[in-house]
Amino acid sequence: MESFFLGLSNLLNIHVIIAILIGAVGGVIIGAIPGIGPAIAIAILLPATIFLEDLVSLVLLLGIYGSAMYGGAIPAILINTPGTPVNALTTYDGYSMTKNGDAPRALSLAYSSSFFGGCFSITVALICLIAFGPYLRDFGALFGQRDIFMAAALGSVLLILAHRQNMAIAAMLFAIGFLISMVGRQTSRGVARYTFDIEYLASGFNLIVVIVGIFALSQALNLMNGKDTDPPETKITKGLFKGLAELKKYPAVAFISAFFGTVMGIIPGVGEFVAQFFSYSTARSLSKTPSKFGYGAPEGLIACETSNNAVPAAAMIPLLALGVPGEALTAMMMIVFFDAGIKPGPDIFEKAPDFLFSLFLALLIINILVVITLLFTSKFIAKIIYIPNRFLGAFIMILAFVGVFSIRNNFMDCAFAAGFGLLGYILRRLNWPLVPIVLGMVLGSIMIEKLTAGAGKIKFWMDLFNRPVSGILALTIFLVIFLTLISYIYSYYKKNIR
Amino acid sequence: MKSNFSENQKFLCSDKVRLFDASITPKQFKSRISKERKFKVENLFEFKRITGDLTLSIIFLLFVVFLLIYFNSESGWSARDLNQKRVGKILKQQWVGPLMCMAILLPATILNILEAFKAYKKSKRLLLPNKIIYEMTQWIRSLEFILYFLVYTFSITVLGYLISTLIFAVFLTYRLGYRTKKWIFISLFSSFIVVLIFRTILQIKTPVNIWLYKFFPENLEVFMKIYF
Repeated sequence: MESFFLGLSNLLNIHVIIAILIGAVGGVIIGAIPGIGPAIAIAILLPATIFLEDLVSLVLLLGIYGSAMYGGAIPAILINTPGTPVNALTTYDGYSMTKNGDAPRALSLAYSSSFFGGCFSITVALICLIAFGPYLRDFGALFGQRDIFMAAALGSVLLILAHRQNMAIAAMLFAIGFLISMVGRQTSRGVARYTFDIEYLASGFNLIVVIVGIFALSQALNLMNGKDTDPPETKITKGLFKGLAELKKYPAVAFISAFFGTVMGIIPGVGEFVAQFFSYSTARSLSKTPSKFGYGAPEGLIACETSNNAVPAAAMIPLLALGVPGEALTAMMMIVFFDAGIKPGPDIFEKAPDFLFSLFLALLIINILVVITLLFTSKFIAKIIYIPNRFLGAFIMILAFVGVFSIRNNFMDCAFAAGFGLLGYILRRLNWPLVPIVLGMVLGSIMIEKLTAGAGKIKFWMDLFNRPVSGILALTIFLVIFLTLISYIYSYYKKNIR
Repeated sequence: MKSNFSENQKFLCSDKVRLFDASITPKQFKSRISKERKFKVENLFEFKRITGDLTLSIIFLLFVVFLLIYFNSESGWSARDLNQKRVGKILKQQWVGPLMCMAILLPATILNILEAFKAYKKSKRLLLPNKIIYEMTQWIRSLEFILYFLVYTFSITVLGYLISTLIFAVFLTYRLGYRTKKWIFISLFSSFIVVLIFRTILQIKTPVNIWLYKFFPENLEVFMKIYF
């Protein structure tokens, strides 16, 4: 409990409070603008956070991460365009409710569901920290270098398998990201890898350069080369508080969706989409009127928004506990941790437990602030969604320069970011996933770092798996791959032979 | 309600021809497929290989072949030392990382090109339109904006962050078709705010040795260097 109060007192700092406010309100606005999304905002803001205090920068990014999905629901419900990619499923029932003249009800239902989902996963994380705090300190001793290597390997496997319909592409892009992280002169040995005698490549690719290129510049190109949409004007009439209490009518859907969101958030590489899939399917099977799903069912909206917002807090758990990010946004946050000199991983429970409490408490405050802001300012925020896409693209490009140049004051960084932007743009056009490249860079470098650090204790190949944790993780990798293969064979049999 | 049909369409809908009854509105037309079957949540995860997929897959394959050719010299494989008693000493060598990458990259690329080719053959069989020239044009078209971005980047050393950003924002706004005074003012104002937030308040690093600033009076030069 001492750490809890210490964590709370860390938040009583004017800079942290301002970061909470900017993160919460900024995140909602960013989420509400179709075409930006938290990944782009965080990519652009990352270099700026280097100059801020560690807790301030993390709270700011967490605020954007945690509140963007609230904002993303607004255009999804009002104009049938998801603000962030994860709000895509919200359009099915949310927009249908708007068409039926129930826009305020849909919005307030989305806010209350998001709030419930967010609070659920934060509460779970806080309870775990308070209840198991003393034991979690010993948890660090269980994890050696080889165990974290295996955890990163499991994360990589899950990430690739999560792209079920385009697994080959995901694996290919993951490996390319992994290879990008290998480029440069190895500091310990001074031997260059894939530098082709180019001086710039000797120091390797900076992760932020790749992230800004792949996420921000590619989206800027995408928007500028696209067409402006002309969304229908929808006015929010009174009654935003109407749907708040409606959540109580569907407790089972809310709890199940929040549970799925929390569990899927913890599993690296899985995230919001799979959480939504399970929540939505379960909500439909539980419903007395499944035919309404996709046509304005409140349970459908609750399932999507609750599971979405349960993910951010849960996604922080593998990052903090193992130092293994499960998705692009947490991978970006890892950079802030490194800059702050805090190494996320099992040791963090012993070295900085108050820091963990501060993060989760800040996220809780952000959730409360966001709901209050949205209930009173939805009418104004709804106007933001009408900013033309192409104009937005131009400004993302301007902001991308700040993101790239400020890291090392190097023009070559800008040129390479532009190159990655072009690659990202082509991938976006073909619907190829971008996240595996970034996670390949992060997880790949973790794997190599841990493997090299733990190599001294490896005499035989089996030594890689002979620790309890690494053994269990290796077995899990094997089982996951085996089960996927079985399901593939089964579906092939069902499709072609029967 | 006024009819928008052309004379030819009116003739086709007339009693003499009776090809279809134009009096039926879309609302009256009811699908026999039940609502549950029409909407599937699985559609959210649907991935379809579209025009350009095969081209990009081929580019990736060529890139992987290129990496393979240089694997020996660029990954450190040429300096390998496999005669070690401890496996750990092998795992510490610098080629291990690139080898792990290639172990994933090579099969994945081959699998991807096979799938892309299969999808291409299917689209040919179904006579689906394949606008590859159009797609490639779109890829090349984006180079225009990349060029602008690079020019903007280099212009900062000449004109300074503030002036370059204002010019670039107005130029891009104009180029994208927002040519009214209102949009030009919005872009000027927004870009000024961007500079104010990132350079003046957050003190983000931008180039310092600006050619234009050298012509300013000393006090103004120092002020501009610090804040803009």
